[in-house]
Amino acid sequence: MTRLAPPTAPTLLLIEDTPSLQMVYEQVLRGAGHRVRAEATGAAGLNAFRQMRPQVVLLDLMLPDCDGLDLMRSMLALEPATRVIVITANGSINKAVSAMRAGAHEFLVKPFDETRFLDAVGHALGAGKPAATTPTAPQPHGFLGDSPPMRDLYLRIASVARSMATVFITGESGTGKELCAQALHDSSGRAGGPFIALNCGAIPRDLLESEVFGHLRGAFTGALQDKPGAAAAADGGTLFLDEVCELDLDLQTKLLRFLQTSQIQPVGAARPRKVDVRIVCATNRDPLEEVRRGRFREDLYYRLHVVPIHMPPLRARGGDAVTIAEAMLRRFSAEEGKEFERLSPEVVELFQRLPWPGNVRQLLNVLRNVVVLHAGKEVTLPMLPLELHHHAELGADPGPPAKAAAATPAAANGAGLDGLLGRSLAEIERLVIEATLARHGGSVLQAARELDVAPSTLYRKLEAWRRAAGAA
Amino acid sequence: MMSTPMTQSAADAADLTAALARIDDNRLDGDSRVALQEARGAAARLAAQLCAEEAPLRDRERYRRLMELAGAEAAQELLERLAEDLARVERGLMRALAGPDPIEVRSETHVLIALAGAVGATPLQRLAEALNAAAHRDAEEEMTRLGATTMAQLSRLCRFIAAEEAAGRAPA
Repeated sequence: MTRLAPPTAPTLLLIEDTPSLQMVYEQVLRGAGHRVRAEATGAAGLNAFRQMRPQVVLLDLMLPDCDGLDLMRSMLALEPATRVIVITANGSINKAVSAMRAGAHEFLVKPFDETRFLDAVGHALGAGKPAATTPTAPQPHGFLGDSPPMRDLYLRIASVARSMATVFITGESGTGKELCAQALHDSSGRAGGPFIALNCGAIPRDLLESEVFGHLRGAFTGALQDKPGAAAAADGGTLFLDEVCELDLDLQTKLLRFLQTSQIQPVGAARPRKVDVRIVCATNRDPLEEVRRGRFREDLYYRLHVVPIHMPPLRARGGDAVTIAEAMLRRFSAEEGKEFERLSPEVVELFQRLPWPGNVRQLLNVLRNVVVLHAGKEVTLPMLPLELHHHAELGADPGPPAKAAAATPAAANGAGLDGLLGRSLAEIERLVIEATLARHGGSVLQAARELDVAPSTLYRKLEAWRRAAGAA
Repeated sequence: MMSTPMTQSAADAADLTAALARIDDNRLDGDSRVALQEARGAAARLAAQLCAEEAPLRDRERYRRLMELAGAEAAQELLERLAEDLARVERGLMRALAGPDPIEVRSETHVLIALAGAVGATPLQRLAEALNAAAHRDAEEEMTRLGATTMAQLSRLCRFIAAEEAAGRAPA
């Protein structure tokens, strides 16, 4: 049934050169109560844009007289607040990704899907003005530090938060990828909806599908009741898929289908159901390398890697280590009933020099350790954990943390061994495993990969230590 | 007027052809590349054989919904525009395949993917996707092979839309 557009409804500009498709889009938009002006060429479209200054433009990227991407840039140069929804065919996904990076609000893949089409228009109309066009952006909740890389990050979060585009966050462990995802959600038009975080690396593979998409009672042995799944729980909000490169290829296919259709099919369900979810994902690996190695689907990569955000490691953040340490020292002291107020000048100097392979997470662990185990008003060098001094000795090489120890001769032959000499081989093995797990935030899969053993080996050892501790 | 939908096996063959066309040859070693070429050839022959006598529509519900969206008054105009757009693609694709001219093949299949998908001719959409991918790779032999099957299916879709248009014009 066609609804009449209210006289105050904004007019959308549609630029599509294939007459039948133009008619279909127009009919669907008018049927949903929108006002539409349709044009068939880039020149006519730009002319109409100059006259109308529409809030939302629907733009086919392949036009007879110009490149759709160039046309979009011209429109955004005239009116940066315009929401451009680009439409392209399946074979041109790379072009759509380029459009998103150039400022498109969202992209739709042909053939036309009525629900997705209207959703995209609804979001674009509801999104309002961009959050930040000024050169500085407010520090999102939970973040500390104002080094240049972090100021760039705050700007990026502010500029992409209100878009529906999928965000792919990369960065080393402990750099705050989940905090970034949460900030994107909090600054978006979906802040009133749920934020659901799922660590794909922490869930056994055979359970992951039901964790993401849910299951019905009786769908498999042990499915005693219906479970909605993370995608359904995030309906109206944001789904954060951490360690997304850990998804196996079967589930990657299902995630791709979900991104294409916005529909989920719980395990055991006869019919799919639609959900309205924005996807933010993260990995501490190089996703392109994963694609090259055949472990991550290329089409999924392009679907997810629309707006990349890279979290800078702590060693690249200048004085932020000290800023964070001072703020968190006061907070931890208050929590633990201690009186710590400051860092000694030697500690400040050390903190600035350290490579922080575990990033902010490592810094927070060090501070918590100091506050719990010591007393006083000032944190001094002797209060710091022994391994931190070793890091300082090894810290000249700020290379990738996962390889730093193995790549540094001193680690193999000198200072790094001091704390291990005199211990049994079993003790050393346990120390190394625990340290590796801590470095990866407890992820057995990542620790196993770094140690080049099967995850089951680590699970077995952890279970044996747990039993031994229970028996003691 | 609504013909019998395409069978599952023909639709599967078109899906398989499109999926094989999407694989990036550059990531494969020599032997795998040869095997992929053989698989693509076999899938294209299978699709040609299974689609040969098939009706163009696979997703009748999609076609019905498209007409419903247009509404009773505009459905006839939509059918006319569809017929013209498909005929234009048919002419353009025939010209593009004669060379073959990969840039033109990409341009025409870009429109065909959208049109075929919009009316529920999913296998034709898949064949157009495969042809588009072959044009991206500038794979001449593959373009010729897939082009023939795509053109045959496109002709059927043109005839189907023309028949629908004529039925709509006929007095009730």
